Amino acid sequence: MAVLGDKMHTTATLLSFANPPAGTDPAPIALGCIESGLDKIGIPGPHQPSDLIDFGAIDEDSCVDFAQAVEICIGENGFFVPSLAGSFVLLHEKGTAITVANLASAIAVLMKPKA
Amino acid sequence: MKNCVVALSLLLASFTASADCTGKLSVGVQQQTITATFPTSDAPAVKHGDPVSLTIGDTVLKTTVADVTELPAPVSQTLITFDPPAGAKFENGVLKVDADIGSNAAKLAFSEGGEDKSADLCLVGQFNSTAHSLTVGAASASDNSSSQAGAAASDAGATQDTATRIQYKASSRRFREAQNAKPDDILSARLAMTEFAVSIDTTNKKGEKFVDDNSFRAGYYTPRRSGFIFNRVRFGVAAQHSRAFHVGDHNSDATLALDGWLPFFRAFNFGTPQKRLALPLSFRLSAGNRWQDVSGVNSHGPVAEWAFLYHVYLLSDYRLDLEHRTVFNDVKERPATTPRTQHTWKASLFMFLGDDSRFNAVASYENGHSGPVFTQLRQYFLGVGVKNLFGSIK
Repeated sequence: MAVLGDKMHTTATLLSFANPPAGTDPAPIALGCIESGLDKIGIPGPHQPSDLIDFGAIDEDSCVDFAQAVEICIGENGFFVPSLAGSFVLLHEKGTAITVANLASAIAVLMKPKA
Repeated sequence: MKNCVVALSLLLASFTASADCTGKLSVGVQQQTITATFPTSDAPAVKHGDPVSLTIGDTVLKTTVADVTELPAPVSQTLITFDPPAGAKFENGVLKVDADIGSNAAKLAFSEGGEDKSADLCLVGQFNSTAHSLTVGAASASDNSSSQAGAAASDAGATQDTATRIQYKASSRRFREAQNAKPDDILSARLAMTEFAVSIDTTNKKGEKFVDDNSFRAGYYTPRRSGFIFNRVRFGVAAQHSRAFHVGDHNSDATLALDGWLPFFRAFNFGTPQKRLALPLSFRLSAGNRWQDVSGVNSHGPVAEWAFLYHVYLLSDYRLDLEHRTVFNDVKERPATTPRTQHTWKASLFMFLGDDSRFNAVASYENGHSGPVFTQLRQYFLGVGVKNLFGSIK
């Protein structure tokens, strides 16, 4: 039942970010897309913004999958973001542990509305 | 206690990796935007509109910088995106390069103040690659059978023999669009992968003094699929034939493999003030058959392997990685020192000293058989992991 609740929460989060109006703040979209990216690589939510993502314990291929899932989600929400795979792999190699909120803030800096 | 090895040393692997390769080169999954990512302290001084070239093996892509974005701490990275290069070729959304993907290296060439500079990059993610190389040269070997009397006598008594050595390597890795794949899914979930590799390394002389190592390998891996209790599971088949041309000894393996993650077994947090997120239990299974002919003795039998990895977080600063591996080898004529079943357990304890820390404490323990050399190995390791001690300076 707990798993079902998690999935419902994730779905609701994604739906709330679909088709944002122009001028939407990218940070919450990045947050929602990190949530769906974590779910994609087998770390289902819900997660707190203060949860630490331990990139040191996410292998390189999974970092690439995580990055691509976030890119696709952001694209579906009307924003462009450059490839994040290199960034996530660098975090993995450094063994960085970063909060969900800080990662979302960094990704939001890279997001630009699609023309 | 003679099988016990105690080691205390510095782990410099991270340092070595960062010294070889300053940044990462990757391709966006949606718009195929090529992006170079550097730690900000190592980022080249380029700006929007600067002409640059990217060299990946024999592939050279001329382009210009489209955007440079610096991410603040704790990420502390600079992302450089490039305009689409004119010569870039994509297959199923994957950049095609004429390069040995095993070398995994690329170079960004740019100009700074009228001076030509370059920065090393490693390839990240999916690239379709082809490569081949041929080397013909002289090889020499000395017969040191009379060298026991000392170094001087050894030099004087050694018999030199020369041969012509031929080395040829060819490899191809292709990601192929899978049927029934969602077009908006991650690439590993919609692309199958094929691999071929030929390696010839031999001489025109018979005998064991010269190298004679030749092999052919082919493999196919399905796209990763998630469902039921599994996450990103993929299935693969592989075949390899190795043969010594002059002697005739050969070895053939055919194996099936399955790997992925089990999300139900989440990384466990015990007493952590902040929940840490990591991959759940991972598994790898493979099984197949081996046929071998060594010195005229034919033998065959099943071989199999399974392995698991699980992360546990303890208190605020510790991560415990638990690994188990079992190898089953039932080839009939296997060496007497090689047991039928070999187990390895490993526990590694990482201590975090903060996000800005450059050191991790590592302790591991392995207990079990380890291949044909050691019939039983018990190994303890204590060390200090160095995280990103130095950046590469250009």
